Amino acid sequence: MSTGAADSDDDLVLRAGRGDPAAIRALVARKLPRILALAQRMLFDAAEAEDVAQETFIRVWKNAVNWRPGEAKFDTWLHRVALNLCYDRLRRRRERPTADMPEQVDTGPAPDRNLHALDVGKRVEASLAALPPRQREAIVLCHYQELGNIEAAALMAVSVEALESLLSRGRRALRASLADLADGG
Amino acid sequence: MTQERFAELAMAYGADIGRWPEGEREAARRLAGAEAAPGTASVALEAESVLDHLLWRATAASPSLALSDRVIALAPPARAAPGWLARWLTGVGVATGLAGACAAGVAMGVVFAPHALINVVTPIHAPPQGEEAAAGDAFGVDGAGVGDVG
Repeated sequence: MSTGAADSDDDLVLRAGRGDPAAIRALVARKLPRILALAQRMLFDAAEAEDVAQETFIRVWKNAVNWRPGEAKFDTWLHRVALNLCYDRLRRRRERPTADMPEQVDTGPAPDRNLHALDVGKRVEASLAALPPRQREAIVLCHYQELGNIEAAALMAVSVEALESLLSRGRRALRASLADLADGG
Repeated sequence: MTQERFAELAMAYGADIGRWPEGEREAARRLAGAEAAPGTASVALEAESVLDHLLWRATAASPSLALSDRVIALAPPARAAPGWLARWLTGVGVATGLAGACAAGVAMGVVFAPHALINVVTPIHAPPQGEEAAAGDAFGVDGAGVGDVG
């Protein structure tokens, strides 16, 4: 039984549902980095992102045996599950007392303009974290997860025009927040 | 495509026209290529390109081996055999089990109740034979029953 790059997501899911170890490993290798990255960029908390990724795969394993190829794109379904779990976490954070909130990164410009690459990354993360969740989601889906506009809009349950508006507003805010890095970033 | 629409798309999707909506890419490329000198389109792409590069500086960590192992450990267990094979194997197992139980029963009878075999050939109305007869009853084998079967 092959587990090469040519195996479709659908094929791997169905085989994983039957407990095929090779398919399970291939599916994890293909999708776990993608889902973990999504959760990291939505939550900016490494431990919570890992929890979301793990919980997403628990849902995959539960549903794999009943997966019906052709009814939905597996990658889209996977993103929807992970995003729902991310939003659950974000909601819980809002309900948490301020004292329990994770430490927020300073989003202001750094005093030293010769920033180390790591610091640039942290600044960008902080600016992304400061965006309204829907704008951040749009940018994460289109820029980082490289989904097409129609797929991203469907995932977010908005029109393509609304998606473009979220993207534009998000990127405008990021440009303003990172303006000091634009010259030498 | 208008310059205005070009700028809108750049602001939404970034500088890589390959990631713009499929139906508008060709027109966008034509518009960008038609500029004799750097114009509105080029300026828009350049500005968005800077932001695109900055965005990629925020890297995501790869999954740890521990996380991958945990996720794999939670996966469904492998199914041992297809349904028909499992049923066949179960049938063989039951048959083997029954045969084994029968053989064990006979062996037990020989070891612990040799009189039971004797009873098979003992006349039904023969008188009880002391302790051996009592032992036969303890295994639930009386002379009459065995005689009936035999």
